[in-house]
Amino acid sequence: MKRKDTGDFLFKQILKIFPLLILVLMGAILFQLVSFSSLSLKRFGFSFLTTTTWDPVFEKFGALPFIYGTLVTSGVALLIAVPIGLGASIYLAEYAPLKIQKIFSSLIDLLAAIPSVIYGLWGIFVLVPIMRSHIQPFLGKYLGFLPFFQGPNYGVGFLAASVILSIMIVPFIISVSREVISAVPPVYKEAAYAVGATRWEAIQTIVLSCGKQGIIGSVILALGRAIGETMAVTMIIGNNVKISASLFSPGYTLSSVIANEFAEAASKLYLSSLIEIALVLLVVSIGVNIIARVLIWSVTKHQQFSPNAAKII
Amino acid sequence: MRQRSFDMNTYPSPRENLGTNNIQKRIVTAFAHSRRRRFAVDQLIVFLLTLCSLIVLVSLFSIVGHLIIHGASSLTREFLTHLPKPVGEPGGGMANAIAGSLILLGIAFVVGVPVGVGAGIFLSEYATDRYASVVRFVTDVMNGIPSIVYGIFVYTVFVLPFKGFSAFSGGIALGMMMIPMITRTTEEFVRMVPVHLREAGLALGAPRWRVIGDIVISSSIAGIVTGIMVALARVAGETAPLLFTAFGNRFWHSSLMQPIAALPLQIFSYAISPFDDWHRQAWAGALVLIGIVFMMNLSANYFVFRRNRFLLGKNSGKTAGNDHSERKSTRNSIASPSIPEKLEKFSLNKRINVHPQSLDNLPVQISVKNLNFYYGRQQVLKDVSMNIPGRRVTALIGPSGCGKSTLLRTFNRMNDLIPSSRMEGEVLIDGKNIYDKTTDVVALRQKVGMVFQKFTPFPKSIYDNVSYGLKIIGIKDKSLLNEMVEKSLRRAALWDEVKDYLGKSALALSGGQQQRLCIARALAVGPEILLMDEPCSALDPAATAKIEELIFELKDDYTIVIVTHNMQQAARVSDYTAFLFLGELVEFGSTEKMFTVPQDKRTEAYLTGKFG
Repeated sequence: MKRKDTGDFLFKQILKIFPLLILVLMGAILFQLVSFSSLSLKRFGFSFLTTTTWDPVFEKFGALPFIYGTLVTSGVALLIAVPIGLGASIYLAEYAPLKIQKIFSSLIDLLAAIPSVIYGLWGIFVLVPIMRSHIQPFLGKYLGFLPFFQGPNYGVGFLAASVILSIMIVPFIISVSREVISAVPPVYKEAAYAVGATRWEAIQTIVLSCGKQGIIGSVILALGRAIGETMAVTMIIGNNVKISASLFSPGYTLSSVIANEFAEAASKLYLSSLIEIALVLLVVSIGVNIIARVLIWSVTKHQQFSPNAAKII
Repeated sequence: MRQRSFDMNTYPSPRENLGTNNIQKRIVTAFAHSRRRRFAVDQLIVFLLTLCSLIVLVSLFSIVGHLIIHGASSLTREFLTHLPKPVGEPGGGMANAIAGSLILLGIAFVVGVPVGVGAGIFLSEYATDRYASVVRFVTDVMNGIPSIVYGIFVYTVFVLPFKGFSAFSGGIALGMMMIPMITRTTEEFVRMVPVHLREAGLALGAPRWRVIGDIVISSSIAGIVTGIMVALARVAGETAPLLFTAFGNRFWHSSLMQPIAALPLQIFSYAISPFDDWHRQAWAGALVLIGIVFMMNLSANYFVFRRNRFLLGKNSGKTAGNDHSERKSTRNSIASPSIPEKLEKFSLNKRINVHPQSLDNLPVQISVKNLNFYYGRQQVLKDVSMNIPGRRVTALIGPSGCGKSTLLRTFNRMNDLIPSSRMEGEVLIDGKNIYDKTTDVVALRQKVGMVFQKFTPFPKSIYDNVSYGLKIIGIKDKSLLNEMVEKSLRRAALWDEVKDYLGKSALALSGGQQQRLCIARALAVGPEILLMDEPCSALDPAATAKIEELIFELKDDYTIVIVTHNMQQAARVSDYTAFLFLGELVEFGSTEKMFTVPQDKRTEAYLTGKFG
């Protein structure tokens, strides 16, 4: 008789080990990165984040150019991707006929499934030539009075990296915000129609304001992706340690400097500095994810399954 | 009636309600003025939104198109079967990289799947734990960590201590990335297994771990596999974490402790090289890589498809329709709260005819003593005491929310599973308090069978469904099992319909047959008591009649307690009826007497359809 209770107990305890492993893994990642970057943390302290010299020969390391590169590329990527992604997701959730919806969303899944290195490959051989011969000359000609669109045009650089990032994060924005939009109860929309609103007015006033937090959440989630994205950016950003206002200029990001230099980092301090950059990436991505999750959760929590006691009374 | 005419006279007509004619006129003109602008904006937005979608599609087609054009032209037999040539020499292939990628995925599978699936099952099955919500949060955060960070982590824990890049470290890095993905998808799919299916397993006397193993996982296995395939597809293209773990290799690796080539790594290094021939090969490699990724995604979709077909079964449309109408009727039945409120005052009256002695001097099988039951702060059963006689049919009736299902579920401790529920008082079965600490709940549930409102066939064959309860207590004797299956199916009046299809999936049966199968399954473990929670509410009249007939036949051998919304049904099948109202047992006695001369005003009001 007792045996079966013991079975249940044991089962739960064994099952409990797996989530514990996850917690341990997360803790270990944090611990390892902190302990391996301690050398650089001690040597440079806070100035690591604020100085611009990155000189492996004289072992002076400051990560500001990379932080700048990451911020610029992911910021510009968001500027491009958010309107497009949001527009496409509203079109999908509210306008598109069911058949198109289905085809479109499987195409979006396809886009999301393409590995980063293939985006990079396409970037090098398709996007960069187009940037060099068409888009950047065009921008230089008509918007050249702005500091962002001045300077020599190599094709590779911040703008190319931002464009490729924006293509990569659009699927995330679309799928998450579509979910959020369809979570808005249709009754609200119907109520707006009932007082004579046009379709867009109903969407604008009801759907977008109800789903605002969730949509912001999806954008922040996409930002997290963009910040951590490595390969495609590494392949087309130009790898140049420099802070420049021009988006045409080649640059560097946090993740691409690790990808390019980690394997050849000879000295301990060099290695430690690169690991500190990874730590910065980790902390930023954890922060961004926490914010995004909280926002999305606050919208979709009502739909979630909960053992509803009232139902079975 | 008077009320209504009164309304008609005093309520202002819509026209008057808008105030003076002047205001109305202004509204009309304002509408006319804004009309064109508003509709133009609407059209413009449609155009812009469509444009956004087209931009997304164009970039997708450009990528896929270039991949196919450049890749296919360079995808030769040599590419797939040869090693890379030395730098500068044209030709050669990526055979080692393709093989390397598959090996890395294999290692990742071994690392990532057990932990991910185990954690996912835990999160879904013990979801209320505080521990679970912490883990869920951490998992979500880990899903957002850049892949290159995983690479660095593995570098510090595996590459440095073992002094070298290796296939193992690369596979482990990929596996670690899979863990949070698989955890979340597994949790999602396992949670989709309906609660009533779990309860049905427990009601047969299966311990929780068996229910999880036999029913929950087998119902969601296709979904779990889908999650694994999607995760594999995602890490298959990962490059960043392999840069300083697997590292890449231009030759065949000799052991897993050596650096190993991987397709994404090879694509990367060829793409940034200055040689045209290598560029060509990078495209070919990309085509192969995307082929692998899409194959995995496709097979994942295939599993989702199979899962849906399997879970829904043949009669999915029908059952869903029934569900819907049933929900509707429940909604109607609680539509008029005013009368119950009025009747609430009567509850100050002395309780009538609720005596703890046995009815008609029959032997008592279930005895309820001063039972109070709470969901959180809400009290759903108030001081209920009753003695249910053995080998008779007792019906529990009352309006929705009166606590009749809750009462029924205390008889086999099914409520134990509901978080934040609390019980006071005693329930005795054959004189023994089943809420005693020493009670073996599993044994109790073998003695007390249960049939649910929703049909709960397990996603197994008919035979395996009926024999489930026997198999879990360790009966392996084939002839005994055969005999018991036949006997139970005969008792449930289902044998003749299914005897030639015992190996077929139970989900292929019709709704009424599924319900009788569930009764047969409950009977197979030899219970003395049979609890039925609105067993017919999702059935058509013909199938209902069959079940009622069955109840009639079973009552000589079993003590049956049935919860029903249908008063005619209570009148037809039961010997005794208990009327519950707002958590109180109002009246309990012989069905005949209660339906002809109810003792309590509330009973009378309910039976005559004044509310509920």
